[in-house]
Amino acid sequence: MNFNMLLMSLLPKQASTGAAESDFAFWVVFWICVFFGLIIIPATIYFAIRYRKKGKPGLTNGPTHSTFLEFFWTAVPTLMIFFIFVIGFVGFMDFYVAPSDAEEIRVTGRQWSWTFSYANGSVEYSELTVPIGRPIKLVMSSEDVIHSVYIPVFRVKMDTVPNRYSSLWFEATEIGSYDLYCTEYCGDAHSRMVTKVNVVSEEDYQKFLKDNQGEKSGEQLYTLRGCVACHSLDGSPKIGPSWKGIYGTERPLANGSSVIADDNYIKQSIIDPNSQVVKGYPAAMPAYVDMPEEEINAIIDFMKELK
Amino acid sequence: MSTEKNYLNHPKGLLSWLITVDHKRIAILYTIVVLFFFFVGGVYASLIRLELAFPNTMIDGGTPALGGATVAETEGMYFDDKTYNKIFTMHGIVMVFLVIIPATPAILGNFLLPILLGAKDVAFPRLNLASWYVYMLGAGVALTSLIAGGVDTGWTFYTPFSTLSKSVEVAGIQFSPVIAITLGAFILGFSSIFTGINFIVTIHKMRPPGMTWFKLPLFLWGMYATSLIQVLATPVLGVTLGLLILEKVTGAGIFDPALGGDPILFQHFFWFYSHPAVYIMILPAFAVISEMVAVHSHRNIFGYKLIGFSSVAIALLGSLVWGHHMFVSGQSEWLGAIFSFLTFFIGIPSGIKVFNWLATMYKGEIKLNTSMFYVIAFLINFAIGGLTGIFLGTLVIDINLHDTYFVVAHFHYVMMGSGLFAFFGGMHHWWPKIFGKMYNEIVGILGCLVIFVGFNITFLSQFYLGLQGMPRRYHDYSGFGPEEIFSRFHGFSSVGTLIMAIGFVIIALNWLHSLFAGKKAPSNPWGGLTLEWATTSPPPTHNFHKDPEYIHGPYDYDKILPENIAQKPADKE
Repeated sequence: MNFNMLLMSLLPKQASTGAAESDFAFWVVFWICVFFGLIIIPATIYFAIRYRKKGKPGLTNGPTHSTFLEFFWTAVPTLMIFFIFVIGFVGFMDFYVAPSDAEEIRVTGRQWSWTFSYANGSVEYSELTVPIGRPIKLVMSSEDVIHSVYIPVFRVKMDTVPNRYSSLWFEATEIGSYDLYCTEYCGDAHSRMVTKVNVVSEEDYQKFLKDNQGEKSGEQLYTLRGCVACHSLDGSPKIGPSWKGIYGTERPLANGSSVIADDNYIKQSIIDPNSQVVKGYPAAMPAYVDMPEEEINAIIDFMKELK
Repeated sequence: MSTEKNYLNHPKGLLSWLITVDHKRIAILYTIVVLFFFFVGGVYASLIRLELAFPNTMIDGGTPALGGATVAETEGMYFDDKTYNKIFTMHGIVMVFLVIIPATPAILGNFLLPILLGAKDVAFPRLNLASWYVYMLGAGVALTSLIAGGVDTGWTFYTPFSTLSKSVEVAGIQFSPVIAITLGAFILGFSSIFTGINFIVTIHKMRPPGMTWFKLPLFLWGMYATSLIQVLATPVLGVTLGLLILEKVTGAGIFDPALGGDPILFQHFFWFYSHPAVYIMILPAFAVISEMVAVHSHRNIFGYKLIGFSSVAIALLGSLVWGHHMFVSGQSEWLGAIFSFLTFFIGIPSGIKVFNWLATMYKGEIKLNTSMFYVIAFLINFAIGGLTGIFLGTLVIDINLHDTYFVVAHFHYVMMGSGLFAFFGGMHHWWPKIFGKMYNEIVGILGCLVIFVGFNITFLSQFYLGLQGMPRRYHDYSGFGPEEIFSRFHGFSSVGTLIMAIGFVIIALNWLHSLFAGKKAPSNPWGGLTLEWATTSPPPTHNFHKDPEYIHGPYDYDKILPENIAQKPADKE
């Protein structure tokens, strides 16, 4: 690997128009820092060796000040920071002012999953799918605590705040599947609040919208509503109990009593989950007060199948 | 061996230590507890690096499940998610509030400040002792949160996550660990304020005749600037944490949006203190380095006034840049722009200091002893820590790097690589004065080199992880991203931590050896010209056997030989 490739590998690949602009600023600052670092660090070591003296110290006569030098190393960094500020500011404005023709996709964060809704809410999906070559604006909010959307290959990041909308935009330039992280600490499964950004052709995007319209199955809702973060399907306990084979069984509760996991119990556990917590698990589940009847039914049907 | 009375051996008895108002003894009391908490914080750090040393095993061959979550097996991990989150939270809280903030001011500051002024004690000796007891109370209250299972909010206590955390029943009482730890931090704030007030008043009122502001040792300029921040900014933390507790107890809607509050307001309040707090951590380091570089280069400090003024400039500017922690929080873009602009100005006084220290080494007579190695390690670490701050201050770059390991590496370079390296350097520099014993220089240098190498392996790896997009505060890094890079560089980082731990053991052994078997220290082992070197090692209870004459500047290495420190020319043979 040659030197240039080594340098380039410092940053992940660029997959949006903004990534190039962000990286331009990065490399400007990088070389300025290398320049100053190559003055300060070798000079420190050189002086320590060059002026080393053993034995009893005598009187020393080095300069105690130099107006020119001190003006010089005040003025040069001052000019430099104006320059860097302007580069950073221009890029920042480009990152936050979305083009007027940008397509809006709504993003909802919750502990610990994402929902992306398209075309006025008629399509919802747990991964972000976007078309290549046109601007996309994410309008984001959170249902509980603060989260943050971070897509490294686009160099974009923005917090999602409850009761408030924030936004970011990008224009993808390369088809592929990339990572999207939550980068604001949000509790237990913070490091699992990771999903994908799928950059697809316009054709595939329209197909995606068409395929995902209409009612969701329980299995789709399992990931879409974020159940997956805490409940496994294979019997292993996570933050909450696994769904495998629990339908119809007797569940021991934290308060010492027990309950049969029937339709009523499951519904109760979705809209007011902490009223009947199973023994050995924390009362950590958010309440899905507004979940529509059809979705609850679909989830119950899905759980019945998990023998 | 020596029967000479000094502050360490007279008066005797545990009680005489617990009710002492002697600033030197209070410094020793602080040393014991701060080093203990440094050990505790270091254990937490080691546990974090142990957990992150290897990626976790996953069910289903590690395919991320649809919806972003992955099904993790607890096998192959040392801790579950919640425990890991508590560990990094405690690491941050212990290191920030219990170690770095008090370390240099409360230990070296307390010990040196009156002696550098030729005074017998600080202006308010009882307040000084009270600050230690308040510190112990705050630490105690904060640690009760561990009984209730610990805190997993991160040291920043961001709302609404922190206000939503639940109480735990301990022995029949509802107990909220978050309230316990915020109350602890609230109380610790008073300890910090007490020390700050004491230092400001002492520097103003107790300077000896002839010691004008521009003849103060630079250590005192640094302490003065630090104290200003402690007194002015700490109350804001108190108010913020007070409001947080109020909201948790009464449900008043201040920060929680579900109650009509504003979570971003909390971030503003929090960083309004906690960014200046970064300067509470770094200005004392500047103070220590200014002394050490002059003494061990035997050179009149270069650009005295600019170093002094730049400390005060950093203290003032440092109070105007808190919003740079919030560029992607949803605050207005214009606020972000203004905070970015002001942030860059901090770079100027910081740069001035570095260049002036370098110029002080130029044409000096440098002794390459332990203290000087710490100075060199500090200058390198601070150069890296400072320069990487420029990336984060640049708006468009920060959008990408915010809340990644790049930030983690950057602030560890400043707080640990600079702040704590200067503290440990200062401990070596003044060790003979404080304890009256010399330590082994070779072992001292070895300890410095080992922690320096370990530190750089640990955190240079983290810069790269951050550039590759690795988010901070992640318990698990398998199943996404450039997995191989993440696991390899997390591995390097953990190896670095192990090396650092070995270095700290070397330092501890060297100190213990010195305490029990070290040679007796002369009054002026390094040939310094500030007043602490004009008294015996260790000093007597009232610091000087006879009042020192203040007849030369602190750095007159071009006029005064060390053996003539604080003597009138007529006193010379």
